[in-house]
Amino acid sequence: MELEAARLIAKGLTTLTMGLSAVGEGYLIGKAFEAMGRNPEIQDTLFTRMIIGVAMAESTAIYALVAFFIL
Amino acid sequence: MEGFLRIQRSISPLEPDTIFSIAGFPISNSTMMLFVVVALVATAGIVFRRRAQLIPQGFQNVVELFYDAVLGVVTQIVGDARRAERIFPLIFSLIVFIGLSNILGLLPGLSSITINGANLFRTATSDFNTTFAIALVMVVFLQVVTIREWGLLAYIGKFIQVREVIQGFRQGFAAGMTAVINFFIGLLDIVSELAKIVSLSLRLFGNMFAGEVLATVILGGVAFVVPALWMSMSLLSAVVQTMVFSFLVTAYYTLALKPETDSGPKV
Repeated sequence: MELEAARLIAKGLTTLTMGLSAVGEGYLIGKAFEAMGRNPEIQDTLFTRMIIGVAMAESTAIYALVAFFIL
Repeated sequence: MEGFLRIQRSISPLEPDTIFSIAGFPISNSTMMLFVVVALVATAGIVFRRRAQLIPQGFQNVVELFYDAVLGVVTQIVGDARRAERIFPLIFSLIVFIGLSNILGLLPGLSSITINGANLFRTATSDFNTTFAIALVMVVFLQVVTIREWGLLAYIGKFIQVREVIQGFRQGFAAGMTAVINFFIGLLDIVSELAKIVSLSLRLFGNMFAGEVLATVILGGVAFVVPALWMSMSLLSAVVQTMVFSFLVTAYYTLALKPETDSGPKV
């Protein structure tokens, strides 16, 4: 296999792995909404914390993106 | 029509272009942006310090609001108001510096200033050198705090848990085996400290760099309306990444402190 072909396949594979972080983030956001439903008082705090949590869960997807740009 | 509907630019490289050198030390375009950020923050600080009044007017209101909000969150993460005030200057400077670096990259027109064919300015945090430097200094600072709180021998004992293995074997074979497992986990903690550097720096770098590259790609596709959507997404991610970085450093700092007691060593 040529180098260029292998490189492009590797790039595609790194893009695929970012899908898993979407699953994790969806779970996190769902749990946050559930908690907001139980306790509507802390909605604002919970939303801010949720955004921070989503950014944390996003980090492995960002590593994959950096690997994509390096390849 | 082609030049009107699309703006073709080359994707900015991973390594920033060097503009000039000072005594053999290369100054890149992201470093130029760092100079701008530092100059802005320093000027704002000096002007604000001179014009601060007891009853706030105008811009001072905004600054005090911001200060209160960050102090509230840091107190919540550290848990104790007195210890939060010790780490607060560092966290606030981090937020202002990283936040301003991230947001200034979004200003339109900054990428049009070119010198010798290369951009003169580039988002400071979209350069891995910058984010790696900040993350490295933060993690070294955390190690120093841990050593000052717990003492040098206890710090090494966290990673190489020889004493716990001896104590565990004295209690019994099963407890000894658990202590051996904990010994290997302690060795893995060294790796986790290095992973903190990598994760902190790569998260910030990846978000900012990918934002820049995607902005170039989107401008190459459709130059009207669609880049504005990406701009708002970039703005959101700039603010969120600042908060994530700073509050992560705060959380690591809280983990490095001794549990709340009446007397304890001063940091």
